[in-house]
Amino acid sequence: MTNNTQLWEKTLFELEGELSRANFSTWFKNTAILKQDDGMVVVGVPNEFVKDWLQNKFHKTILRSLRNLSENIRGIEYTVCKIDEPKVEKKPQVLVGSSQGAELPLVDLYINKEDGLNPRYTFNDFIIGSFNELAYAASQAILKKVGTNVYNPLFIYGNTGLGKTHLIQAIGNEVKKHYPNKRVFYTTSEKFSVDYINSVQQGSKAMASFKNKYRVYDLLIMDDIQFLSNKEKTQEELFHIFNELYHNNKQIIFSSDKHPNYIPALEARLKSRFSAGMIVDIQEPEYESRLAILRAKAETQKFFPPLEIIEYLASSVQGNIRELEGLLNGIICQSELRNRNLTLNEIKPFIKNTAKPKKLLSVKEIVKVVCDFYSIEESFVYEKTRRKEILKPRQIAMFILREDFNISYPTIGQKLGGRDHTTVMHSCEKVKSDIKNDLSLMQEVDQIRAMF
Amino acid sequence: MDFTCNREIIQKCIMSADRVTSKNSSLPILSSVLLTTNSKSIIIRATNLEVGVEFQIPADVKRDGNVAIPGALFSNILTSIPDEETITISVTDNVCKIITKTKNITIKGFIPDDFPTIPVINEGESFTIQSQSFIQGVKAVLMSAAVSDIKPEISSVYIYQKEKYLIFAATDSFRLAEKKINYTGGHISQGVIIPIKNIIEIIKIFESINENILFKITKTQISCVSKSVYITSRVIQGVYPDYEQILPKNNTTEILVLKQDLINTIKLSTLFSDKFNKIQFIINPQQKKCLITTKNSDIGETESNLTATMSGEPIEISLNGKHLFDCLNTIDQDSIVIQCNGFNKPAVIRGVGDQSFTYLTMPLTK
Repeated sequence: MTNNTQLWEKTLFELEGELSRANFSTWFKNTAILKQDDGMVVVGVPNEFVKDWLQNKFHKTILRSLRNLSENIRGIEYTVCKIDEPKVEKKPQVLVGSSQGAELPLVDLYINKEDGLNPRYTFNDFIIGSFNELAYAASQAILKKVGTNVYNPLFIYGNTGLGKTHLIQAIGNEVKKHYPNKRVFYTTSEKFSVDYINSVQQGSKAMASFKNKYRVYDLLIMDDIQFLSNKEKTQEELFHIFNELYHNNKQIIFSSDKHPNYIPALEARLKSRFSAGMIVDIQEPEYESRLAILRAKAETQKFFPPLEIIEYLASSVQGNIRELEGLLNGIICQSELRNRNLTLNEIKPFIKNTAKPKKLLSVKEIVKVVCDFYSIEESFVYEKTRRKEILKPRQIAMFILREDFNISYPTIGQKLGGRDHTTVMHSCEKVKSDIKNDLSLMQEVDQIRAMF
Repeated sequence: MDFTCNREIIQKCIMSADRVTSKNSSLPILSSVLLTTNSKSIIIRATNLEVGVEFQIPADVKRDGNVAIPGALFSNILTSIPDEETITISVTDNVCKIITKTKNITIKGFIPDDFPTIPVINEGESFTIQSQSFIQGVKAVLMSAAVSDIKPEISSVYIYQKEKYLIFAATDSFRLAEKKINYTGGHISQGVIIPIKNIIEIIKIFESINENILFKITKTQISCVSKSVYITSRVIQGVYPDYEQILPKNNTTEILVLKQDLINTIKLSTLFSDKFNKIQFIINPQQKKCLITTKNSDIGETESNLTATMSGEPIEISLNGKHLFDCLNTIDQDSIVIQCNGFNKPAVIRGVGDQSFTYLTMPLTK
């Protein structure tokens, strides 16, 4: 980047000497070298008028100056693009309307209709910590070589609110910036299936255009792929599109809240394809990352609370980034209201109030989920039967009740048909040790856990 | 070059072209218009590097050539010789001689080779629309676009196609106007964002023309072609906010009033409003009360009762009088509907029975 800026600055310096001042400032304002590729230099210009003029009038002069500075330059291409003017520290202008009251809520609606990307998501405000560094590294590798890299497809999974969408949209935006010729498209699996259903409704012509629409992209990003479960025909269509794109070395990125193997009712052929490239997970951020995230968020909001408050927030709030953001917003709002920074003691009750209550599920509900998973009658679990197909779900239910919901052994025994607490202990131990050796059992338990 | 042409025709074109020239550019050539001969006609070009125009007018050409002369000066000359039917222009060494029956005028021209080229669009999508429909669409929303260019994408008019309509939209983030114009052409896959200053020039030029215009759009440029005029303008490369999501689907209070009544009341009320033109509406459908009040501690206050048909919940809402006034002027119907969704949600204004125009304005804080 700096190389380009420096080269262009030197070129402009030379050109300035050759041209009249008026000419120079009119035609070379807001121009820049966007990239150099194998001797071809791409120069960004603010509009078509300038593009025409530089091409017709100044092309030779510019080329000569560039060659003087760097010998291997063969040619110049001009493209019209938006170039950010160097940011001048302006005093915040008081808009006429600023005290008019509320604005129309348009801020979040700047979504590019053509590629579905929200320009708000960039790598600039993406915070990297040990929880997401692998995913970040993979995304950077993709940016270097879109399509023709080992990370195709890239599958990113992790719980909600950990920045999956931010990351994959940032990849899209970055690719758009560095490769203006590549066609990028972002969609969610839900939109994809709606699109599919609509085209089925409208008949064969719409179907054909649907099929073609997704095959022209150089980078296809599909968010929240887990919602494709149980949508067989949509999956099939995705499968075909995937194959087509993959064979043409087009980059594909998916995100989901689960590992593809644990997405229920997903076709095996899709699962195996998802696993073909790179599967990375995003974990919950650890303390240091939470601290960094809170600081960055506070800074973008121009809010500078004392460090101890940020530290307290980071240490006491576990869980996802969205919740952290929500809490911080709440605190900013509170301190704006009171017109001063809040003290630690004022924040403590606030966190308690907003911290989400632990999920309260009754034993019955949990047992029901397990039974549904193994498709057996719920009542069998409570009966005194040792049939194998009943025994296993019962033991797993006990194990989950103990491990995930911290219910005491005697209570579990009592609730599941008046069994002795030693029976429950045995069941838990058994499942625990079986899981280590039995991969399919582990997957089953994981899948059940995902349902809570 | 040497040619003779009708004074009235060339005057009209030069006046239009001069609007587009750059008034205080560091590059003097941009304040000029370029005349070029083209078999039996001459081409007049002008540009400020935002918009470029090209007129073609019939002329009796005796010798080919071109010349760039100051637009404002040329335009003033032509308006000062209203009695002449034809004028003859002959140019040698960039000195332009204008000869009429009774007058001889000499102007110093610029080197025509320095005149910028006007981009021609050959690729991209195209659509055709009647010029007056286009102007109608733009004019209906123009006043809502943002004036400052801090956010270039909203100091623009956004035009896109949806179903059987060509939709024009503009917003300054406090109010929003949308106008639908019937459209029968093919699908246009991408919308186009045209800077407000540029689109004003475009409609000014097409105002006196009544024919179909062919629009061609690319990611960076738009061109409008009619029989005798070619206009091209930069477009904003950016994203227009997906405003359709904030258009309310239903409402809690609905008021139907005569437009003229409301205009008169607002005119009176704004005399007493504060610097944000705040006008308060107190509406109670049950008591059949529609009260409009304004208050200014320095001048005084007003209270007007408006005859209106109302339904829904009672509401007290403060709106910007200027915003209301702006939109009332663009509504043709005699009666208008105001729909509210609570004192802090945008209010919708439409002409009665007219779904083609929608105006949204954000209430002021109390």
